[in-house]
Amino acid sequence: MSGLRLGRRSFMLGAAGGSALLAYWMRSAVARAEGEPGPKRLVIIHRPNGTIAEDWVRGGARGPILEPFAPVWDRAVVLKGIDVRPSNGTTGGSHEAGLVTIMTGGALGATYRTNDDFRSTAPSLDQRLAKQSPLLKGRPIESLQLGSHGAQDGGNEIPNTTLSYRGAADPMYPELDPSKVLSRISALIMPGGANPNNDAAIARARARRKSVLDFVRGDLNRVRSAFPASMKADLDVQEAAIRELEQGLGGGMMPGAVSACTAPSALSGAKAGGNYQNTEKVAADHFKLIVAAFVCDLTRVVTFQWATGASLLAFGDLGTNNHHSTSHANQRGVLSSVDRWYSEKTSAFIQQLANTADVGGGKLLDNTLVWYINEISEGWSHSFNDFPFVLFGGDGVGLKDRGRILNVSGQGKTSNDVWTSFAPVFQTTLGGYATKASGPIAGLFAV
Amino acid sequence: MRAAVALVVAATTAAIACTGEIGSQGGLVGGPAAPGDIPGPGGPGTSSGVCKGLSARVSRLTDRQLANAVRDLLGLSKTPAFETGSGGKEEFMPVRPAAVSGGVALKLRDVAEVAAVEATAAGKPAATCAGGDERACAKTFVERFAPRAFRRPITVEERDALLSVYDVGRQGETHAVGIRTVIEAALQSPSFIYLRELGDAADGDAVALTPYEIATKLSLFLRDSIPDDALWSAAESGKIATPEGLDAEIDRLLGTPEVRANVTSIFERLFQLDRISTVAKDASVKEFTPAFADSLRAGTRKFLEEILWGNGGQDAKLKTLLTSSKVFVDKNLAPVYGATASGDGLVAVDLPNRAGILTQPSMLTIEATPSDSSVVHRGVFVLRELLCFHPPPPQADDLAQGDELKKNLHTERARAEKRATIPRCAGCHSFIDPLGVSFEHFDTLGRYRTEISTPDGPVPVDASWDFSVYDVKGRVANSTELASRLAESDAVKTCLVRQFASYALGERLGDDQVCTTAKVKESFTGAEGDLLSLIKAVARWEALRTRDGGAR
Repeated sequence: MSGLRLGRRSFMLGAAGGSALLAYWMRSAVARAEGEPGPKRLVIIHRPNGTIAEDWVRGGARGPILEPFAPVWDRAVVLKGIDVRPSNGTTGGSHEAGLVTIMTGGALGATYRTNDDFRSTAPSLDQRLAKQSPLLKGRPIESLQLGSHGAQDGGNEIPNTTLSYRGAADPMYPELDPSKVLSRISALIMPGGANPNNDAAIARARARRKSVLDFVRGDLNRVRSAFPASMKADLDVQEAAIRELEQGLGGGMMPGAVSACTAPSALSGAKAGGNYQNTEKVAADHFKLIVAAFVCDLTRVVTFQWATGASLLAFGDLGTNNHHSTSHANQRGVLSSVDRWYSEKTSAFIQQLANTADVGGGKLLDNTLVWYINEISEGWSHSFNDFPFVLFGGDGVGLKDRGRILNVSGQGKTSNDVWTSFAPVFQTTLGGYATKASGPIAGLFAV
Repeated sequence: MRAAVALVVAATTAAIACTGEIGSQGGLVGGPAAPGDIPGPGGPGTSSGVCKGLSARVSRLTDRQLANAVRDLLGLSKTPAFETGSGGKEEFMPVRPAAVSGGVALKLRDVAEVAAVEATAAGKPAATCAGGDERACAKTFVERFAPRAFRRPITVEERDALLSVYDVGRQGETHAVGIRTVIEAALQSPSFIYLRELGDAADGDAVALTPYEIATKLSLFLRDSIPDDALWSAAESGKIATPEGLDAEIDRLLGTPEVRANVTSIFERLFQLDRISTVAKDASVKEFTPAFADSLRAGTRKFLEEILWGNGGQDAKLKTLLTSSKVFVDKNLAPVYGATASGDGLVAVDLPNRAGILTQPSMLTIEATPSDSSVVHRGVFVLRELLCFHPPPPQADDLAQGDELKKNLHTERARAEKRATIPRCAGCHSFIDPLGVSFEHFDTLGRYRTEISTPDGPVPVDASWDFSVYDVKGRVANSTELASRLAESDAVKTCLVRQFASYALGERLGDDQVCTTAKVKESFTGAEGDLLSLIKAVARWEALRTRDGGAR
């Protein structure tokens, strides 16, 4: 499908799902038309089970695993010498601890079911940015969480299956099914742009949603007297959630002209599961959807998981039927091929961002910061030192001196310092981490 | 998941001594020691002399119940995906569902909005208004829909509040949009999300749950969802609160295919079969592929179906469940387990040396390490799920000690024998290891073996052990003999009653509450371990209808 043709009903679904924010979207689209800079965005992409250090960076230069990024090398800064320091003081340990620490900077919480199924004790930093950055917030979809393979090896541990947390111990699981994301995005695209009819429809949708929340709040107040006192804490949590949803409805609306934007071309229809070849199809669909969402400026914060931490994804042709299990066996040749495969496919997405026109002029990647991460450094040892991180972007997000490997070894830099470094790009700051941090990385961003 | 190394080690040593001093830590049952001279981890259902009834309460529907309820309430074609991180979807004993925080509220809103659109699509009953008086249609809809969603009659105030929601939704839009807005509001409300077990009376010694609460509790147990039309009628008429009415509904429900499928699923959850989807084996175990795992699971589901519902229910006995030599194999499984299967589907074969659910290839594959059997995994499973004893997790020092054992001792049995001589290990492992060693004839995929290859050459399997585990005492030769002993064990029956009662309650029964299941146990043992009698007796369990006064 290209060139969107949606009926009124489709739009109304969307209106129910984000009408007032849609109004903001329209307002900022007007602002752009008047010459303001285009939207800035943040994307975190995670692939699992560590890398093979000598094939990542070799002799201070791009190793074979990084080679597939050659076409976008002028958009990349490879970070070397960044550690992850979970609150339990380990310099090596579990996939869960790594992912929670990178994404939240918080201390490891109590475990859910097994001895490293840690709860997060803080919201994830992408969510803090989504809420507090004036450049990231206020979109019809506040943030998107996507993933292409959901099965992990040997358990079902929550910290491996999610990057984002709305609050402490409040995971936002990635959507694995591209068709659901398509419905969500398509429903928000408004045929005909802003006109008096659509404006009125937006106002009605907003009123409907407010009415729903009013009822829910009323019901909550009614059950308070009937429920036992032990339920008070849970009801307080829900009341706070209602308040947050109400705030999301936003204030004034300022409809105006909206530039044309279209839904993505046909999806492959692949469903998450199966081996790496199927996973590639699912991911390719998600990438199309991300591009579409960006072009329509429906969201500015995306987290994407190729596969869960400790993923068991099978790469039969590359020599493993279980990536995580093979990482423990330290079959370095096989593991190198797998991580190179992730590089190839991620590079293809970065190239899409680099080649797609942005709404405010230039290309999407000019204004998009992509951080490519892993939950551990090397799989066999579970090292927490020298993580294989790459940043991609352009001048719009101030990523300086691209096309290099920035070695900060020995400076005590952690994943928290990466967040601290780019928060100002989004006109905000991050700090107060419960885990080790030593301040921004010098010379990385021009802000 | 944790490092595979840690996994093995963690499972290899549980070293807090399992003594009575530990009390209920780590799920240990307190109370007096198990029979005989065993230091006391309690047992499958101990009586400390205090019998504590169950309190009135409110709890959130689990993710699975909530999703099923949305589906059934609106007649959706598919069950919506709703998962909040409250624990595995197919867990037998749910952890406390997460409160409706910001993330959960967003997810719930998504589910409600998508479901409401499907339910009010053109031509659907909810969107249709015969006669043209839309406000009257809306009133009829609210009066029919909201009580089913809230599982109780609604007040006039609630009805009017929902009609106001309709009015806002209808303004400038269609009747269907008005109804859609009502559905969205109801599905996000605490009255839908939370399960009441409060009864009518505010206080008193015993509180009878309302007929609606009784019907809902029964339905969540047997249907895994909210009441269907007939059960709802039995609640409205009050019949469900009478012994005859309750029995009639239990019998009716157990005759329906959907309830039978759910009861099979309850057994699957008890044996944790969904874990097969996350099992990993070493690359050297080439037989183990995702398709193989699917076949393993399907084979055991078929095994359970046959026992529970085949042969007119005559085989639905604890003894058959634990001792049947039947295994269902397809083309994927047959060659690996020494059977033949022709055609597409699963065929039943009798395999020598198999005895019941515990020796199903799926179970043995799940309870194993990536490359070998696992005495500790298998022993802990039987101890936890069939004897209701939850040993405490190992400490860091114990893990290190377990690692040491692995360096020098090359069979699971040799390590178990060593643990029996180390005081800090022996406490718990005197319960765990005998059970686990019994299964040593089965490798990482549950293939039968008579010897084990080690760096020192092949070692013949010895699966025998001198038992003193509750009422299983004396020499037990292997898993076949163990299965027969477990099938006769009173401790196992007590534990299974506790397990299913806890499942129906939605919360693990405390040691001092097991006493409330005495009649259920009587029915189960009286029926010679008949599993459907167990299900019925749990459905009739008084605690699902009456509570102690004073809500928590």
